[in-house]
Amino acid sequence: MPPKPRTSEAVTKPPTILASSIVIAETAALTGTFPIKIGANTVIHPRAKLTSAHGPITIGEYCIICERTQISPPDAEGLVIGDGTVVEVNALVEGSVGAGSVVEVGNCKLGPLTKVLEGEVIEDNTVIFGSGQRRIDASGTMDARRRLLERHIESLRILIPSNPSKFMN
Amino acid sequence: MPPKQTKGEYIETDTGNKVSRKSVILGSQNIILGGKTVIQADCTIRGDLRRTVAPGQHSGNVAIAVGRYCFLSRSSVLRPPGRTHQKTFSYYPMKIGDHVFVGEGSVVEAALIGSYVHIAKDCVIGKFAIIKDCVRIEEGTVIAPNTVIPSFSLVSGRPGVVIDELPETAQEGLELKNIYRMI
Amino acid sequence: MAPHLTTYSFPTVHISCPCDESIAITPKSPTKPGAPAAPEEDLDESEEEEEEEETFDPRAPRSNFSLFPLDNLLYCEDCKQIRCPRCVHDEIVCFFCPNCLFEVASSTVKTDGNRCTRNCFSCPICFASLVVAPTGEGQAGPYILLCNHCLWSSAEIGIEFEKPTSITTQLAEKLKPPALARATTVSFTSPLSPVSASSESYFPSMGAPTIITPDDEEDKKELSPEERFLRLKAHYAQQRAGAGTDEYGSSPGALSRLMGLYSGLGSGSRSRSFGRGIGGFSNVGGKGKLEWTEWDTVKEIRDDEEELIERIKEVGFLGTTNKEQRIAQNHQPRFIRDLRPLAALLRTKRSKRCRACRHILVKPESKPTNIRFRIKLVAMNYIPALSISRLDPTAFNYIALTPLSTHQFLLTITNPLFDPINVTLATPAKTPGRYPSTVTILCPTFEVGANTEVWEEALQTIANQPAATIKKGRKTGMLIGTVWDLGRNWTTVVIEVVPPLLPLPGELGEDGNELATEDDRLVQIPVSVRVVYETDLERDDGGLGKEAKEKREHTYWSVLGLGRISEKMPTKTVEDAAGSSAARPMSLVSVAGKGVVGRGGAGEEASGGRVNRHSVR
Repeated sequence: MPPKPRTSEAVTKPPTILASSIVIAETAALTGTFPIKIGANTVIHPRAKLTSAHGPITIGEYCIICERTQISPPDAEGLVIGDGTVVEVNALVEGSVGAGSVVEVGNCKLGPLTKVLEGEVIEDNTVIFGSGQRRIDASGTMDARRRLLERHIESLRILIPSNPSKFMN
Repeated sequence: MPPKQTKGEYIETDTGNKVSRKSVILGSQNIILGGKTVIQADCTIRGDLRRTVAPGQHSGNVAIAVGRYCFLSRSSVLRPPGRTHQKTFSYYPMKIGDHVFVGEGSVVEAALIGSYVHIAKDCVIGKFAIIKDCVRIEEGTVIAPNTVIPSFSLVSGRPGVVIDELPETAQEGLELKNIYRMI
Repeated sequence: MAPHLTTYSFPTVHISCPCDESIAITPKSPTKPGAPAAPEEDLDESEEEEEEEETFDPRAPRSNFSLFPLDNLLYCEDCKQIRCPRCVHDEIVCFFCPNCLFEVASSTVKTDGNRCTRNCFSCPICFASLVVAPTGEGQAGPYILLCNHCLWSSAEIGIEFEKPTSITTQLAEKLKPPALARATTVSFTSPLSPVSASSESYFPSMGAPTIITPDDEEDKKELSPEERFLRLKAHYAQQRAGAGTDEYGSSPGALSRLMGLYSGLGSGSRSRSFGRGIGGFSNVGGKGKLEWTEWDTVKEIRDDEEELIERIKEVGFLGTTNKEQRIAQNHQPRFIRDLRPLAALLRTKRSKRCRACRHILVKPESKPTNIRFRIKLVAMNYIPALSISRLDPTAFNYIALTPLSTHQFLLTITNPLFDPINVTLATPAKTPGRYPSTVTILCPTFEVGANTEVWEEALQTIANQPAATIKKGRKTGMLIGTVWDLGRNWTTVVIEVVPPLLPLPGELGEDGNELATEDDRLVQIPVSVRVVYETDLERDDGGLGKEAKEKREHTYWSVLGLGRISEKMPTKTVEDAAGSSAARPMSLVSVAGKGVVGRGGAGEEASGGRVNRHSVR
């Protein structure tokens, strides 16, 4: 039989402000010293890593933070993830800096394996795809995607056993 | 070629699957391994993302079915694809054939992967992709969601497109029996 | 199709298909394959070194076309010869769409073209496949084609579909320009119409190019390929119908007029001077064609360009297409807005025949998704496979071999046959090229056991595990004349290679060319593999040869790409070299001397060939 996942014990428990309607897996890792704020209806998959050692993290409403992501602000300014963002598997988010796998921030879409450099500002509705090509999304599917996202979150609510109390303080 | 592993790193099942103790397997009751499949350390398999058509139902749902002689390298991720159909979102089962190699750090969200498929490292296989038998996917390829890759294809690029045909000998070249013996 | 010898993934093993000498119409005698590939170089060499006459030169310009990985080679049992993709005939077994995997009948391919006529499209921006997505609430329409990778959608070019099925038909309907609709119904206001109408109306019309004047509004628009195709199609259909009755078929004058028309069309193919061309054509006599071209150059390219520039100003650089996006489209649009979804190109399953004896070598099952073969004669089942690795298992570095030091490689020969084979390896002591490496095969003649497949499963588990320990115990294999290691159907021997010291990159010779190109840095060793074995005679000739054995032999050239020579000199040589170039080892000086003096003109030819090689890649 496959091994039981190890329980990830946060070394330092950061101060958290968690909305009551969030879904957060027990094996998600919230570490650091700065506050972590998570908005309503957001889903944190197992083994997502949120590290607030260098700055505060604010995650908006209706977000999905997938497994194996690392969210760690590089400085005290912290980072904000807007409403309706999907941070896909293996993504690395450092503020609005650096994207690993699939990150969908606000109305932008950063494709798999694309990178955003430090200090870069990506305009709304930008799609980064391929090996760094960029274009402005004009497909008008934003609202539809947002609706799909909300349904996605509803179903994850059933699938992912939530244990916010572990991260409360 | 992976180096020889220290003894005890893998748990061997009755059917000869070798599963690393350091792998992350969620929802193992929804995962079927065909036998002689190797799962390396830090590999994530999301069996918990099963169909949600009938809420509350816990049994009889296969989220991920993997065939024989598959090899899931370090830090790879298998994750069933999900989509909204008729106003409900659901994950759909992922089926993987025999002799499928998934390279280091690759993320697979395909609906179907045939047999004799080689996915090199750092690839992303998009949601609901269908990859038929005898396909080689080169390093760093990103296969867009819903893509279909026919047999005997060599795929590369972002997004991944078929860049060449594989020779008739592809099946022999993609066999993974030997790699299983090395573990 | 040529192997990429420069891709830095070493080691490589390529096998030379002898077909580059002659696409053998008669089966070649297997005793003398792989004769010199580059005759011009061979002339010089044969004077100096007789024995190297037949050495396969991996650097020869033509070698690129004859070297293949073993996986890509087939084997003709009747010719007893390797067959590469260049010396087989392909025959299409079936057409299928790579996206929906539906088989397409060849008659449909003829009528509807080589593209999927279902709902399979790829993105004009990034070439990922498009999906049909509803834009309305729920699953309701209208529908768009959406790229899930770059989020391009057909809505961007103003195309939406009423229903989610038969997209191709809907798209064709929407893309049909109004002019086309007219062209198909009114048939011919087309410039070609006067030519095709009939012989009577043809000649008068020549003097009356007013049928379509250059000022004609419609004429200003570029003809879309579909329009042009339809017009031409109708034109030729009509012509073919009338070919028997009018003077077209017989009169040489008519023929030359036609030819003039064709070449004119060629030169003005993307112009709307299509119509005015007829004006030029009216001077059909002697200089009609000349005038045509003049007209062509006079056409208002200026207006055109200005219009283009205006549009570029409007949409910006991001609104223009890049090279790949343009080429993929029929009408080669300059702007993103003019891009169209690309219908999926069909793929084929093909059977392969030997070019020499026409026997079938490969025959796949005809269903597109079936991966089995009815016939599959691949070379890896007939000729021994070579594989190579560093003797020191910790040395992974193939891309920086130290010059002038001895590198040991393990060459493993695996036997696919059911009979034991005697292998003789031969290699020139110095590899061909301006800067030869010294090569020694420590044990050139040895036996490789039979591939007794029946026992494979049982033996493999035993034989494979202690392999490492056997290897350690067998270090005596380094002695000349003994094998390094052997197993059931494989044998390993040691190859010693001393790469030469090359001039630094950028160091120029007297003629101003670089002394050592990137090609010179690659260590490529031609090895002739001669296989002799005895096999049971096949029974189909009467069945009397139950005990009879037949001696067979097969020889082929292979090229081992062992690695790349490092730019760095061995440390002590660097110090010396700083002092004087005479401190370089003698071998190099002599080689360099030979390269410059001995070869003379051939050196230039060779470098010319090298340029070709690069362009081929």
